[in-house]
Parts: sequence; C-alpha cells; structure tokens
Amino acid sequence: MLRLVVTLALALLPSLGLAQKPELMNAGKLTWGSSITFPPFEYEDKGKPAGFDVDLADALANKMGLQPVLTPIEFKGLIPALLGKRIDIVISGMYINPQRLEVADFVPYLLVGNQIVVRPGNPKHIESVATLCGLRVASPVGTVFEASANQASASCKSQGKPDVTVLSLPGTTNCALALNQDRADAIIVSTGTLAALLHETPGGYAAGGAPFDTDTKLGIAVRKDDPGLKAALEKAMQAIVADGTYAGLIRKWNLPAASSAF
Amino acid sequence: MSSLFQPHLVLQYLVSDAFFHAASITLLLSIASLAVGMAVGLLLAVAQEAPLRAVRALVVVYLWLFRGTPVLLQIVFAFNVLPSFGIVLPGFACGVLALGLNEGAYMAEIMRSGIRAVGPGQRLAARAVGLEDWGVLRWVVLPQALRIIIPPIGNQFISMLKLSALVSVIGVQELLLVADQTASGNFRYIETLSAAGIYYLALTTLFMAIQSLIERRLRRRRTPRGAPRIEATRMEEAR
Repeated sequence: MLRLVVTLALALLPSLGLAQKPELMNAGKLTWGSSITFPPFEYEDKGKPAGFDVDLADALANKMGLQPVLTPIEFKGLIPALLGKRIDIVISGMYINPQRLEVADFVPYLLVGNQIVVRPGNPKHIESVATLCGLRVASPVGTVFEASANQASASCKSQGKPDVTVLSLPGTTNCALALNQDRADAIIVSTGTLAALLHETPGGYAAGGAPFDTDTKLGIAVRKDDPGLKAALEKAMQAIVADGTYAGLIRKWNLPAASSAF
Repeated sequence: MSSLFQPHLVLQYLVSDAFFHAASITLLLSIASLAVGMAVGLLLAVAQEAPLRAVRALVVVYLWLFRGTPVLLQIVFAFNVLPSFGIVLPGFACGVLALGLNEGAYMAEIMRSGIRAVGPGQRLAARAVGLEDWGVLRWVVLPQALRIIIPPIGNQFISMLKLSALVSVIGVQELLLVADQTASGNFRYIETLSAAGIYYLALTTLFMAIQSLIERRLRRRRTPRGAPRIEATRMEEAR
C-alpha cells in the first residue's frame, strides 16, 4: 500500500508542482531574444541595447527573481530560436497575429497602431495604404509590416493598378535608411517607432496619413509547452502594473497613454 | 504545426513561381558576378606581370583590400554607404558589384598561377617563331594556362553560387531571402529551407557538369582553333 502511494506520488509530482515551475535555458536566468533594430522598443544607444522592451524585460525578471540575459537575433529568426529552445522568451515589439499564435503563446503587453513614414514634405503624396500603388515600400523580413505591404500590393493588382515594390531588409533601421536614400518611397512602422524616428531625427521623416490598425497588440512570445513560464510572466506583469513601474515605462519612452494594454 | 516534416510542401515550394524566380535570380547573380570577377581577375593578373612597379603595387593594394575584408561587409557597403556619395544602385547591382570585385581578387591569383605555370621556355619559343607580345599571350600562354586554371575556377563558380545568398541582407529576392520570407508566414522552416537547398544542389550539379564538359573539350583539342600556322618556308626565309 505504502509502495503504491509513493509510486503514485512520484508519478504525479512532475505533472503537479514541478511542471508548473518555469523551465529555463539557464537556471536563474531569463534568456530573452530580441532584434535590436526597432526603436523605441529596442535599439542600440551608445553601444548598449535600450528601449521599452529592454526595461520591461529587466522589470519582469526582477519580479521573477531572475537575471535578464539578452540574446540579439535577427527578427525573422526569433520564433525559430524560441521553438528551438535557444531562448526562453521573445520580447521584440512582436505583434500578436494569428500565424504566430499558431506556433507560440503570447503575454500581451502593449497596444500599438501602424503608420506610414515618408520623406519630409511627402513628395509622393502618400496618405494611406491604398495610395501606395506603383510605389516602393521597404519592410523588415518576416514582420507584419512586410505582410501589410504585400497585402497592399495584392489589392492594387486586383484593382488593375500597378503593384507595390516591396524591398525586404533585415531590420527597421535598414528600412529607415532605405527611405532616406530614396531606395523606397515609404515604410510602414508602429506608431511608437514613428514617434521615436521624429524625435531622434527631426525633419528627417514625416508621417504619411493617420495611424491605422490601432488595436494591434504587442506580446511576449512563450513556447506552448511552457505554461509555467507563461503563468510566471503574467504574474510578474500584474505586479509591475500594480506598482506603477509599467505606467512609468510608457511615460519614459514617450508612448501615448492609450498604449497601455491593461 | 501539425506534423514535423511535410514533404508535399517541399514539392509545392519547388514548383512555385516564387522559388523558381528566386533560383533564376541566384543563377543570374552568380553568373554576372563571376563574369565581372573573371574580367577583373584577368586584368589584375596581367597587370601583376607589368614591368611598371606602380601598377604592380596598385594590384597588391586591390588584393589586400578585397581579400582582407568580409564580402558581406563589401555588400552592405555598396548598398548602404555608396548612396552617401550619390551612387544609388539597386540591390542586384550592388550585389554584382561587391561579389564581382571581391571575386576579381581571388580570380587574379588563380589566373596568375596559370600564367606563371607556363614556363619561360614556351614564351621564348613563341617569340622565336615570330609572335608578338599579344600573340604570345593569346596563342601560347592562355591556352595552356586555361587548362590549368579550369578546376580552381570551377571551384569559384560553385562558391559564388553559395556566396550569392549573402545578398539576401540587401533585399535581393534570391533563394535564401524568399525561403526566409515564406517561412516567416507559416514557420515551416524545414520545408522552405529544404526547397532552397534542393535548388542550390541542382545549380551546383549543373555547374559541375559544365566544368567537366569544358575540361574534356580542352583535353581533346591541343591546338587552339584559328592559331597561326608557322610555315616551314617562312622559317627558312628567316634563316
């Protein structure tokens, strides 16, 4: 009888308590992947990664009693790295969309919209995605922006208009440079990125039309087979919202107050 | 992600317009870069044999610069830095420029080794039968050097096919970028990268076949077609 109880207890142990504990790549460390090319969420500042997501990772790790370790990875490689267990989570200004939800779980943390960026003075008179027909749009590989540009192209074609030439580059900063150098007529970015671009290089860029898709959510990606870590992140997130850290980050990075996902 | 590996998807990608187009871009990019590389290489190899010291020094600087920096840096330089000097080339042209100039440095060394391998006796003999500078190079040195340099050039052809994947970072829609873009929509990395891999293998197989064909033809034909005939009578006259 005793033997049976012990065997049962041992068999159930992993499925109860132990499995709920986050499985981390390196014990005591929260290894997070990010593509450091997406201001103001993550970018290089004086040689160091900075941005909303960097501060968020620090705050969350702090609440979880872990040490945050950033692994820089190109954006398109983030989900594969997560699935391949090279990183614990992804915090990289990543939009939650149906395709990504199929392969990973997300902890939402911010509301953003999209906006078109053009050269100063808007020489091509771009006011919306519908006015991009026949023009060139630069976008980072594997992002929702690339998807929107391709969608715009398809809808132009279906209306019998010239399609959009999509230039796919590794990161948002490459795209901003391409716009600057007249390789592209427009880029599509998040509203937060546009604010950062206008703040960092006044007169270098301009908005092409109003924000759209304004109910998009950014999320922290977690493996589906890692519910313990997801629960721990959600708990830490509630804690930083409750103690005001989260609201402080939104202010620090000049994001609109409406960006709060909570 | 239903099952781990779905072979029918690989097949679907292989026959898709996007992958076929990407493979043609890869092929075109490789051939164009090699053509630039061979032209630059021949020029440099000949210049290296030049009597003028300044010309030889210039070649050394070129080799040092292009072999001493990563070709990826050269590609990004052509794409991101040249526009600051008012030169805005499309991605494909930047790729051909950087890959071609880089290849030129390696080709120069290969061609020089071929030219050097033809002994001085051969040149002397060519002069003795009355050939001028260009004639010696065209009818005696190059045909023999060609046979020597075909295997290493074949090597470069195959390396170039694979190096061309680097231009994916400047937005040229070649195989690797298209595979990445396709995978970023559905995260089917195994299938998309397998399809790209199969295309690369097919292209390298094609290049290898062409190389062995050229080697066989060169072996068969000892005297280049159209070479001037040295007539006995003329030699008699010269005596």
